[in-house]
Parts: sequence; structure tokens; C-alpha cells
Amino acid sequence: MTRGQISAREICQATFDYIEQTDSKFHAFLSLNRERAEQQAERIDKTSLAERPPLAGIPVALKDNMVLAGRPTTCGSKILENYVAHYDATVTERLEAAGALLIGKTNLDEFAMGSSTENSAFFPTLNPHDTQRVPGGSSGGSAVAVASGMVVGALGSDTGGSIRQPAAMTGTVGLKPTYGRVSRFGLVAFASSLDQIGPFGRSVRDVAEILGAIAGHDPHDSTSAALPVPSYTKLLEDSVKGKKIGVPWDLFGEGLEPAVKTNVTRGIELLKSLGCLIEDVKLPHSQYAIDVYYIIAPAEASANLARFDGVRYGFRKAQAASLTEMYTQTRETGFGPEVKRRIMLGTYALSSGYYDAYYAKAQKVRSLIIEDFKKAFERLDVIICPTSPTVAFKLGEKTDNPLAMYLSDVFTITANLAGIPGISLPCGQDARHLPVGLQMLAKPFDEATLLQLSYAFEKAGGFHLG
Amino acid sequence: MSISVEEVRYVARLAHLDLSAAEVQEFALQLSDILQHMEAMKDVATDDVEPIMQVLDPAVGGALTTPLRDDAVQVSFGTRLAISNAPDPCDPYFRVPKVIAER
Repeated sequence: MTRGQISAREICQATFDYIEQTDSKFHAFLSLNRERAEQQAERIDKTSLAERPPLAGIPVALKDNMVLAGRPTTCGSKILENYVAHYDATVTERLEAAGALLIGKTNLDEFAMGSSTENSAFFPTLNPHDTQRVPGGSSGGSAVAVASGMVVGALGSDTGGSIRQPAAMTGTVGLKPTYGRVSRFGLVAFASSLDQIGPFGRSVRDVAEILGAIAGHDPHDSTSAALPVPSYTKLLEDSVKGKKIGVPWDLFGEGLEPAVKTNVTRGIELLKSLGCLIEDVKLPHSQYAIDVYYIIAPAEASANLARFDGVRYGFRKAQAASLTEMYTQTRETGFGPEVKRRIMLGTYALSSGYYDAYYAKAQKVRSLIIEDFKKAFERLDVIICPTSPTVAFKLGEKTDNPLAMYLSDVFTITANLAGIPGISLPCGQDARHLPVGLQMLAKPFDEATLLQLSYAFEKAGGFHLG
Repeated sequence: MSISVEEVRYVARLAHLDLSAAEVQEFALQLSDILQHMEAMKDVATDDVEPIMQVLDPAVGGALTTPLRDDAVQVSFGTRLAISNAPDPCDPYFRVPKVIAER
């Protein structure tokens, strides 16, 4: 692209051709965005080589909970099946300003609630490494679009691991930035104190490039931080010698698959061989993270999803005799089982008589979890642990047991509760050739260190360990 | 901690969900299971702990104040676009079933 050897138009055409051949096997996409991508390609081809922005002509997919003007945004839900957005999310504007071709919208667990993409109201997405298995979730469509080579990069949203866990299960790189690093204007809200948008890619450089394009303050999102955005790609090659890495060995226990433990341990050894200093770290309140998360996230979701009432947009169950009946029947028919379960859990936790025992308690324990990380990062640069306790599981394996599905988020949700950035990197495969993910966490707004260590890990062959 | 069928019905009413009898039964079991897991959290000593009010400390860049934009007229959706996704629009309004006769 930058040498003018291929046009954006050709890339665009090849991308849609390849998706047409490939996506019938994996079902990553919910809708394609051909017209707008072609217009963007034309614009790019008219610019001179010297003027081309960093993502010129690069095909990127969006999780279908981010809006694009004139295009559907379903959130993987029947309740928004016919919704057409009238404005662009800030991230989509910024990606296009950086030259990216926005190829299409990818599948997800309904309203991003799930860890397997099986909760999509439309169809499950399949893992390219084994189509009998899930790709993880909730951003499973974005992960698979990247893993299968249909696009170079993609955006996902991460509320409890929804970027990092599918990245681990599909062998891609997935980054959840710091809370406030990336604007959420135009992202359909799930849990507002936890949600964050971030990139998927097949290399650390691609992820750094996309993060650089989307990060930064946005007047439309008052939670976005007014901090300068470092030039991530320029910092990638900085030395990692002497970086202090903490490993919470206490958490490498029950439920962790041996192959995951072996590969992640080898990954840590690799970083040690690059001159990093490895030490043990204790995060005593992390053992309560699942409980805290599954109170706070559903509580916020139950409030955010109150807006889906069949009045202003989305599905409405007709023939209701009264307004209340119209609300309750619309929501009963429009939402799938997992969304209803979380609305129920959240409403219960917030209801009078239970508020103090659940929601208020969870907010206090969350303070303690944040405190653990603050203390740890006084002496450490990053913390490393597995991304997911298991490799990709089989379709249907956990759908009947919501609690078992929730427990698969054990390593990822602390980063959301503490607001800190986290990245999942491919770290070899198990004996069945299923990818293992290694996760690194850093202090708030220190994505640069995460990316440096990730880049060093990738260059040293960490992606192909085992 | 377990949650009864009656409590599930009560919470469903608060949440505006018209759950089926089968769903009520299923949620009573599943939510009890999940709440049981959360019992462990109650052992954490939190008497002297403040609940969090905002995710990130302003010292590290978290947004503390709610910034206000200038009070100046800006372009926004017209009513036509604003009601275009409504299931039952009645230009320039959203139409809903009759509310006056309720109770």
C-alpha cells in the first residue's frame, strides 16, 4: 500500500471475495459493509503515497455493538434485529480517518453477554482451529474474522474478558485498553463501569497501530481520559531488559488445564531469558473477582437494558392491551435467555433488602481488588497469568450451566474491575493444536509497556512455544 | 442462599419481564446456584472500606468531574430520523398503547 504496489480498491475486492469463500465455514460476520468500504478505498487511492495514513487500505471488522451510520447494529439480539444507526461511533470515525476499510459487523454473544458467542440470537461462530469448538466470546466474530485471515484487524469490546478470551482461543492478539483510553461513544452499553473497546490483530504491531488510531479523549464520552496518546508503534522496539514481571502463582490452581499452565510457564521463562526479572505476586482479593463481577456487571446491565422497551427503537410485541403489558411482552420475546438471566440477577442485587448484601458489598470488595493491583504495580511493570483457564471448549459444552461459563472468566475480569489494561498473546498450542493464551496486565494507561513486552515476546518466538 | 419461585416472579415484575412458568423454575435454580457461589464474598472484611465511586483514580488520569460543553446550539437529529427506528411512529411522536385507562 505505502509503496503503491497494490491499490486499496484491489485489497477491498480481494477481502470481500475471500470472505465470500471463507465465512460460510465460520460464520464470523452478521453483515457486510461493502458500499462504504469501496467508497473509502476510492478515497484512499486518490491520495498521494506520502499522504497515506497509517491504516490506509487495511481491512478492519467491527463487533456488531458499535454503530455505523446507515447500517444495522444488532448486538446479536432479536430486539435490535431491524435497528439502523444514524450516527458513527467515535472509533469508526477514527479508523476511517486513519485509512481503514470498515468491512463488516461481526457476531457476538447477545449484548456481549457470554464467553462463547453461542448466545448470539442468530447463529454461533465456529473456531477456525476446530469447527466443533467455540471461538470464545463475546467478541468471537471479531476474533475469528482476524484468525481466519478475512480481515487484518478488528475491534471488540471487553467487559469481563470479551476481547482477551476469544483472542486466546483463536490464537490472535487481543488488547483491552485502560478504562477511559478509548472513547465508547457509539458502543451499545452493557456495563458502563467495565466496558472498553479494543483491537484484535495477528501481530503486536498491528494491534499497536490500531490502538494508536482509536485512542484518545473524545468530548462525546465524558469517561474518556484527557491524556496524550503515546506513539505506540515507535515504542515497540524499546528494550525489555530489567522489566519486572509479577506472576500470581497462587491463582495457577484448580480448574487450570495442564497444557495451559505448561505453555504459560514456558512463556514466562522466555521473557526471563530476555532479561526480565520474574517474581511472585500476591493478589489476595482476586479469588472474589468472579462474585464481584457477576453482581456489578448484571446490575449495570439491568439498568442499561431498561431502554429496550419497544417504544423508540427495536422490536415490539404487538397486540398488547396495556403499556406495561407491551413492555413486559416485548422484553420477554426480544431478549434471549442469558440476557434475561443477567437482568434478573442484576435487578435482584439492586432490589430493596438485597442491595447492601450484594451490590454495596461488591463495590467495597472491588475497592480491595483495585488496591491489590495498585500495591503490586508499585514495584512491578506487568503481571502475567493465563488468559483463560482452558483452551477452546466444545459447542454446547457449557450452555446448560451458566455458572461454569462464568467461571471461565476467572483470569480476565480483574482487569475490568480495576480498570487496568490487559493483552492476550498466542503462547503455543496444546496437544490437539488448540491455541493457548498468555495474558499481561499493566498499570493504568501503560499500554506502551504491555505492547513492548508483547513485541519482544513475539519476536523471540513466544507465539509458537510448545 | 437460595431464591424462591415467588422471589423470581417478584424480580421479573421489577425488571419488566413476562417470564414463562418454565423460565421461573429454571431461573430459581440457576440464580440460587450463582448466589450460592457468591456467599464466599461475604467473608471479606469491609467495614473500613469505601465502596468505589469511580473506576480510576484521577491521579492516574481518571476523569473526575463531569465536563460540560458550551451551551451553544448544535446540529442534532431531526424528529424524522429520531423516530425512524420506532416500531409504531406517528410523526412526530412515538405511539404506545393507551395508558390512561390503566389500573
